[in-house]
Amino acid sequence: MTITERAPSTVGGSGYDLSRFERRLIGVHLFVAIIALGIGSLIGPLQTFEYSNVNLYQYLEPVLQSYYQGLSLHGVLNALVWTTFFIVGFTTFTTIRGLRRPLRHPRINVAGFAVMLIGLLMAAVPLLLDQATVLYTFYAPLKASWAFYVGLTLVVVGSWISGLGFFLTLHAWRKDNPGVRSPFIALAGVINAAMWQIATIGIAVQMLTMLIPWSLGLIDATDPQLARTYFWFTGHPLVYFWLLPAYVSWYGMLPKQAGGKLFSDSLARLSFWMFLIVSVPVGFHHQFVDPGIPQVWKWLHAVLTYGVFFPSLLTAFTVIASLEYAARQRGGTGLIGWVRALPWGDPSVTTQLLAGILFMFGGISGLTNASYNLNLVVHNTAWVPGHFHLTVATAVTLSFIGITYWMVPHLCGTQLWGRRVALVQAWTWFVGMVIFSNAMHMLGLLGAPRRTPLGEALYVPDEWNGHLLRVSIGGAILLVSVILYLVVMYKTFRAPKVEAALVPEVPIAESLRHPQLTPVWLDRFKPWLIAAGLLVVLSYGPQLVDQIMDMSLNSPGPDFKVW
Amino acid sequence: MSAPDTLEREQEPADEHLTMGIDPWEKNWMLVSIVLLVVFAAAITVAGFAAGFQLPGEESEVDPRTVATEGPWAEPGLRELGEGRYEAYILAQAWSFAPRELVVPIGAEVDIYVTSPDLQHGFKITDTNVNMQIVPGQVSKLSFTFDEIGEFPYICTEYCGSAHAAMFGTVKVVSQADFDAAESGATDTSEATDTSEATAEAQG
Amino acid sequence: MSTTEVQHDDGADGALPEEHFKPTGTIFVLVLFVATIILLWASVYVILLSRGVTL
Ligand code: HEM
Ligand SMILES: [Cu+2]
Ligand SMILES: [Cu+2]
Repeated sequence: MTITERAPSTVGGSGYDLSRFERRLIGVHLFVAIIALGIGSLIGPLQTFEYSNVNLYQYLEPVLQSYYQGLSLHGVLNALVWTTFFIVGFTTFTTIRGLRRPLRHPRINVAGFAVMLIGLLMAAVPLLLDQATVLYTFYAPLKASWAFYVGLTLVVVGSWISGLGFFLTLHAWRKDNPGVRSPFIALAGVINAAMWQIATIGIAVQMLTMLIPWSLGLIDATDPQLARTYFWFTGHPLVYFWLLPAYVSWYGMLPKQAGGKLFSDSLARLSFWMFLIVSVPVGFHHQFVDPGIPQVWKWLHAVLTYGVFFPSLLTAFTVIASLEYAARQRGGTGLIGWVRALPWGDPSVTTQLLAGILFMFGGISGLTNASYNLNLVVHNTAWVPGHFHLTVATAVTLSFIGITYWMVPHLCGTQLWGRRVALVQAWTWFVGMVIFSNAMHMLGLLGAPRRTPLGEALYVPDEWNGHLLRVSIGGAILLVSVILYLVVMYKTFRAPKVEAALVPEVPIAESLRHPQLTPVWLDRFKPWLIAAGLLVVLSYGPQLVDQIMDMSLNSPGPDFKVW
Repeated sequence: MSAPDTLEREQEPADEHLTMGIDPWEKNWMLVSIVLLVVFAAAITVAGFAAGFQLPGEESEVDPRTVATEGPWAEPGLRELGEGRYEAYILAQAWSFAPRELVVPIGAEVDIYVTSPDLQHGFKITDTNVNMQIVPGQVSKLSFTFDEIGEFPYICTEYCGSAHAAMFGTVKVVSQADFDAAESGATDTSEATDTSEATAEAQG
Repeated sequence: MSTTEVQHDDGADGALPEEHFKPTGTIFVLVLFVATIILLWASVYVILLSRGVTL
């Protein structure tokens, strides 16, 4: 056997210390992300209280004109800003630390951040002025200020620029290390960036050919159906863009934090490549009940969505097995008793374990949404926010929170402030979300619509009241959690610097098998990118051609401001 | 995007192509996963294409600028097509449905056509499988048979501006007798004891 | 640490000895998971069936 005796790609410990510049660059991404989460998530509980007729918006009038303005801010700040800034910052980190080398062209990454920040500020102004109360999906012909569309476009463009920076850095590393398998956490981050590049073509076309010219008055109407198709071309892979960095941590870091190793390096890579090829060609599963799209295409996307569920099932095995291995190393025993041997005292671990548990349930409700005609039961009902608060708002967000519990002190050269407070934060998030999300799912099955202040709605039967109350109770518990998180972050940021040995280490898990044993086809971009492109063309091509040929820009929207 | 391809083949142990070092239990899990997904796929396919649990599909297009004043949505409401078959044209607009109330006789099979002259809306009839996205320029259609007497709200499930939460209507499913009585404008429905009598009355 | 050597003298598959641990707990958790998936998914399927066809 000829295996080069190089450093295995995934080894813990030091070996590369981030420069001051790199810390700053990553730090500013996290800073923006956490502020966005802070503001965005504080609005969530207001929404839940409204469900029980406790209307706090009346006291917030100078800042928030309506439930819907709040909901627009909640969706944009949480789902778009918190996630994107965190992910770009975290991927910068995993690229540098995974490869143990500096960015190839740091200026590209600085430029990426700058463009994202400018975009964010541009979008924030109309949002705060109630000029973009169109929710984070901005369905045409709801018309926001042009600055909102241009701003969001710039955020995406900035993320492309940063993605290019990651890619060039990996490329440079490969030149220096011929024949060596790319380190998992770095490779996985770049795969996610590549997927994002393909995925965002949809929204770019939507913005540039329709929404921006329309909001600037260059064209006077839209084709809302085509706009939806463009949007969801990006909208589904968006959720994998959020999720994959959490998977990077679950596969590549959490096992180390738990005291074990990655169970299967090959399968970890395989699932990332599968996400690259099947994340995009599934967008019609958000348009199951749309007019204008033939049923057979919807069916095809439903089946492909089952395909993208498969790598997540693989992830469940690999991650749980890695954790079990860790727990048994720590003396855990029994069929299920080993779970107790995991380091539940470490907030960074606890958050991610709880995130993973709720993700299993989020996966089930997601599979249900995606099941073609089952979508008739739940489409646009409260079930859907019930579902994605388990996925993006917990599996992703709580994992990212867990990552910040070691990464923020690592970058600041401090220690985590308030370990116990952080543990309470983790558990309150978990408990709050369980109550909230369960009630939302039930409401959805009973037919309660989403995106609706149900407290003021005129059609609410008594049957819903118990669930509405539970939504509010969940929201109250989550409010506590959000506040605790912000306190922990602030205190950690301001904590006194400590000597290097006391600063949290970067947890990078070793693989049970030497990564060099991973087959080389799991380390190549070309075949997977070609497969991804082909699948997109096959699954979207004919419908896109049809809808574009058939485009009629005849929908100007109402001639008054509807919010 | 071109990709670096610097790895050399001979570094791979021969059998690794096949096994990838996958644990046998993990292999079993992959199998279980695949079987699970295939069974679910079969179940939704059968329900969709054999048992009639259909989604809205490609129907027709309209001009949202004129749809409220010209064509079938200019006079929205229920129309009889033949024995027990009806069609309903419903206009969803900020922030109400026209008509606000749809009275149908029990057992009626109704083709429901909804569109919007302004924004996107939703149309979901509570306790039924009728659930559609309403998009300006497009016609959303589903057919449904109402075979339970009662009131079923249809609710706007898509954000459409400040009074979105007030946007709903009601399907009233009534007995054939009540329906015919209402149709013929009779005020006293208590005498209409059976369907044929009511029908006769209405025709007479 | 940074140049940890890996032994692959323990069998043709190059496995480390730890690899031979059998993930029984994982299998148990996943069996429960699959049962839950089937149960919850099927309950929505039944709701669909009970609410009438949309021909
Ligand atoms: C911290 C506690 C949170 C609470 C109590 C909360 C509550 C809510 C509620 C009640 C809704 C539904 C509103 C409606 O449909 O009318 C909602 C929507 C939403 N939430 Fe949250 N949320 C929280 C955190 C998060 C987080 C962390 C994220 C994402 C990272 C998130 C993303 C979203 C999104 C994308 C929507 C949909 C907005 C829309 O329909 O346009 N939420 N949230
Ligand atoms: Cu999706
Ligand atoms: Cu509405």
